[in-house]
Amino acid sequence: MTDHKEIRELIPWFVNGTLNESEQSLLDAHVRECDECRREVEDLVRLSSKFGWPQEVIELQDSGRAAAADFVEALPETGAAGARPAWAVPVLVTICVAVAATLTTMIPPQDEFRTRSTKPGVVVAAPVVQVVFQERATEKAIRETLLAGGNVVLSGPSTLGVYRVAVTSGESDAYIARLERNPDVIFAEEEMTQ
Amino acid sequence: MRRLYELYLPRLGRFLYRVVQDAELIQELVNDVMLTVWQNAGAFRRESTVSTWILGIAYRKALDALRRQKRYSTLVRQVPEPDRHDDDIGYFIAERDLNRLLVKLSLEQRAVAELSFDFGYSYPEIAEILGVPVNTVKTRMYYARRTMQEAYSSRGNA
Ligand SMILES: [Zn+2]
Repeated sequence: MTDHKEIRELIPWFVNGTLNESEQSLLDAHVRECDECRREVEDLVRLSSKFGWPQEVIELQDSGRAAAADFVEALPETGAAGARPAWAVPVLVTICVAVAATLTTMIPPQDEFRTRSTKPGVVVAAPVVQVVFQERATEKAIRETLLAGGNVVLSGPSTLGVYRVAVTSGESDAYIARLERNPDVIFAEEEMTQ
Repeated sequence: MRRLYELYLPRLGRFLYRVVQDAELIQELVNDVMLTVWQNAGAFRRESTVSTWILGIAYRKALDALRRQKRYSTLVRQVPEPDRHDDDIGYFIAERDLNRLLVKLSLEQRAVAELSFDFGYSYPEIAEILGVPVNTVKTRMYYARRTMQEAYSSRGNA
């Protein structure tokens, strides 16, 4: 008889059907004769069924996927590694976040699920540009770059170093173009309104 | 590139949703992961590894972000007693219950559970995504399982 502990560790992947052939037959045989492991299989089948997603979410994801595909379809062919369209990332983020936000609102509020996207927001009519700097950029350089032209920094740096800057309407393209010429800046895109 | 997004954006969102459990952070992470994907996509040839590559990027960025925020202590804090509910529970109550179990796990353990039970990856694939030895995957699952089991039976619902 094979080692019970070793077998037991494999049960999660016995349940999801991804063991190789020899592991699979090992488990088949062991589970037949070991009550404890058989109960573990039954428990894990129940638990793993909780990880599935409902139809509403799948449909929502599909619509997000179609929208993402349309946007990416419209891109010019770049081919080269490192190239990226100017606006694709925020667009895709918006779609993905819409899916996540819908998921969040569909789930009853709960303590441990710390959704802060619903905090009372400041309504900003001006375009918002997201900016990320190289790590080497000094605080002084960052401040000067962001505030040039009387822009307002709304928030930042976030965990990932993103600053959000409100820009005078109609001037965001020029602002982004200026940022892109700045060697300290690694990311500058207009935020899509949701 | 188009196919990459079609295929992987929803999966990325789902993975981060379960593993990170913080809507604001998810938004930043998706942005960051996709930026990395754009910058490096040209280097990827083998279709079979694209999915694991993207999820691996997401996992590492999530781990870094959470470590930087030192949020571990709040993520594993006490979870309130679940409400009793009937057998014909709706999906969203089930999702809430699942999150009550998941929140007791570390991010590393949640990632293993999500990749196994939602994504259906084998343990060698999960080891590749997380960049750890296969034995680490098994150990994480073992402890994740034990923690969830305890949480489950402590409410007389095992
Ligand atoms: Zn056994």
